[in-house]
Amino acid sequence: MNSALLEVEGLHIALPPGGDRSHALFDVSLALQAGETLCVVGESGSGKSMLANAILRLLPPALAPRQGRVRFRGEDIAALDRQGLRQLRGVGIGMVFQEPMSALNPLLRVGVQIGETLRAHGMKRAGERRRRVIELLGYVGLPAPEQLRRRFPFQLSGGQRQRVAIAMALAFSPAVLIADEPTSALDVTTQAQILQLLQRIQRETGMAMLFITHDLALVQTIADRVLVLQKGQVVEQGAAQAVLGAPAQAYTRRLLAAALPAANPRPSPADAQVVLGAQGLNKTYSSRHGGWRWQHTAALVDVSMALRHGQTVGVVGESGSGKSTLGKALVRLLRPDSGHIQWQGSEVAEWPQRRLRPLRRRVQMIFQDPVASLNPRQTVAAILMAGPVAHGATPAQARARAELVLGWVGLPAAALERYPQAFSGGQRQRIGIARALSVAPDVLIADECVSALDALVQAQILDLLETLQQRLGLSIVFITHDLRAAARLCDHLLVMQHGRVVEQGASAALLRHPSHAYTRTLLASLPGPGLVESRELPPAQQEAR
Amino acid sequence: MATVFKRYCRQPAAVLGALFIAVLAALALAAPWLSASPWEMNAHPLLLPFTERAHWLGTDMLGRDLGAGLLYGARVSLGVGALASAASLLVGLLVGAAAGYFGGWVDAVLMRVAEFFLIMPSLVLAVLLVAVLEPSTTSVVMAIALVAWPGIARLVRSEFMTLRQREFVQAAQVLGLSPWAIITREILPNAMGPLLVTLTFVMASAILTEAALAFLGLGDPEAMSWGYMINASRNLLRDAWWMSLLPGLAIVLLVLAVNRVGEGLRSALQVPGRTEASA
Repeated sequence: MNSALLEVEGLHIALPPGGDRSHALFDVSLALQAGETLCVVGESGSGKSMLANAILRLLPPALAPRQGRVRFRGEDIAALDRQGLRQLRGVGIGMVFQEPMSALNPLLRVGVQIGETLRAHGMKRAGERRRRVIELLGYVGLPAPEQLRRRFPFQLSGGQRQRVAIAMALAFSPAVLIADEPTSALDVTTQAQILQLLQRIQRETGMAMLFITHDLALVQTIADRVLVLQKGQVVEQGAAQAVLGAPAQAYTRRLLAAALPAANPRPSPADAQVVLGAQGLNKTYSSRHGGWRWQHTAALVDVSMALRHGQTVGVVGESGSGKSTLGKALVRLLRPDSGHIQWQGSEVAEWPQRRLRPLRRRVQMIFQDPVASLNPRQTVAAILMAGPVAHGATPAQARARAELVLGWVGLPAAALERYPQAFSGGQRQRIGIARALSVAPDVLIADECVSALDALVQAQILDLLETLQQRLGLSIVFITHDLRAAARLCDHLLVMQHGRVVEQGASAALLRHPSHAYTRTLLASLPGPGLVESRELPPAQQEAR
Repeated sequence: MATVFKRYCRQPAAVLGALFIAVLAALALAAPWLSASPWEMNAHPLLLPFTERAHWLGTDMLGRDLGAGLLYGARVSLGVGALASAASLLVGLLVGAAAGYFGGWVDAVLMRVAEFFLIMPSLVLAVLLVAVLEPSTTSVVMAIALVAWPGIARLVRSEFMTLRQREFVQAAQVLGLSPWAIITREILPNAMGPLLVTLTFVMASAILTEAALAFLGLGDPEAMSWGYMINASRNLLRDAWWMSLLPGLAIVLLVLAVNRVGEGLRSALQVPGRTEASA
């Protein structure tokens, strides 16, 4: 093991007393060889990012390792002085962060930012720096580097920004690149491009990569070896094929099952009554651009859809495709510029809010962010009782209803008296679902309702939605960027791009034989095994569902 | 709420400010039992402070007790400050909430009205109003509230505009709650922090404006006030420095105390950053 480039040995990092556990990292060991990719997998709070920061000695003194050692090229990093540390960071080990917008200084042109790193490490001549910046930007696949280096971060797309961040990390061809969730803020097609880029760089430079992620599907695509972390402890470690193919630990198996849900095609109830319909919806956002010019963005262009009783319709697309605008229009949080919307046959597209209010209980929404969607100043009881009271229930009736729906989403009645802050993300999302159910709706519109959650919790929430749907006869519009989640839950799919529905159909058929080029790109960009193979169920089984 | 109180108590300056205001308010309330009328001319004129026990803060040129003047003046300063900030809160809250929640033309009209008051120099406007309405406590309070409400309205409006976009407010709308319920139950409790803080600063400036009006002779002629006392001492600045120094100090200390309370509230009400590790 002496040849290992980066070695972590029995690392312990204690958390300040009063936390939910005593150690952020407990006896973590790993070794990284030149040219290999080690994926560190775990849920949020498992200590993955802490590990990355410990390797670069970026942790505050209070979180200094109690035991254990980090060695880079055989040298203990705890013994490094300031000069040695600077050499380690940037030259020896490069780092790429999750959110490229916050990793880049918004007020510096990207060329200047990369040049700063170069200068800090001793490249004194401006001409030399400029050449290197252009070379790096070209190397990470950015078009026209000569012009691009004069742009500000906000003028670039998310994928371009992440390429700039990678270029900066590569400035001195580091021996190790630590990538902390580098693609989880990106769209699926951009994610595929960034992964290809990282793999290409690795092939060409023989750099080792420590890749931190929560997404096991992604691990399957890039990892040579895998390390599974749970609550700061190593659950399992080994070659990717071994760990993912035949996981020895129950926790790894659960993670795998959650990451790659079995596709779940159900016969579409084609003859059931349409409970929510829309035809020819248009919506354009206008914003002033510069002094006098107005920029118009078409968020919805001639969108039509129909949701039948008991059906789940998925709306998939990348960010900016207009899928959230569609969701907001369907619940009439915004008024479309033109087009028709029917709730149970009533034409509501043009109705003012006052007239909508009595009908509102029929169509409810589940929001994306479980933190922002609950009022921090109200108890769970107040949150759940507001809806029924607004529709004429007495406080006693509303209270009984709140207890009932809370039971449906699997939370104890004791939760009623607590504030949302006391709950985890998954529990909060359950409260959000309970709130929607409190007024006995027919239709649920779920806008990215699991994308802020960990894989295991995601799977639980999707299961919950499905159970509730069968039990209560709900019809669901499921808006998501995650094709796997959509394949798992939906009978019918709408694929959106630039505000238009480019393809729609029964989900099984659509995913197996996508006809539009964009749908094919989306499917091809998915990391891990394709959806198509995983849904090759025997015909008999398909019937049985 | 317990933690807000605890965070407040951790700031010595803010606690000291609150104590000062509480003691001053108690003294002001008890003024009629603690001293004689501040208008009574029953001592030697121009007594230096700490020379005669009965009038230990000295007297003015007419032999009026300065200690009594300060006590009664506190009644005016605190009373006018509290009433004026309450009145501007009421108006500012209504206008700001309507503008921020409904937006559109309601917002445009209300904000143009608010801006009309903002572009006038506030002291000039207050002087003008009191002069037209003839000086009394009511007219002083009205004048101060009239120049102070646009600031509160703008703050409330911006708070409402951001909170309106929050998911929990949208959720309430989707549930079918009425605008009134959404404003009072969902938005207002979340806007309370910044509002309370601004209110203390409005109160500090109300106290200053009241003193300025009284100094200009536009205070209530029936009530002894700190501004009036400074005005009275103006010609004797060189002979009786204490006559202007004492009420001046009182104003400075009170405004300082109110400001410290505001500053303390600001840091106490700040939502503590999310502690969850974002791994």
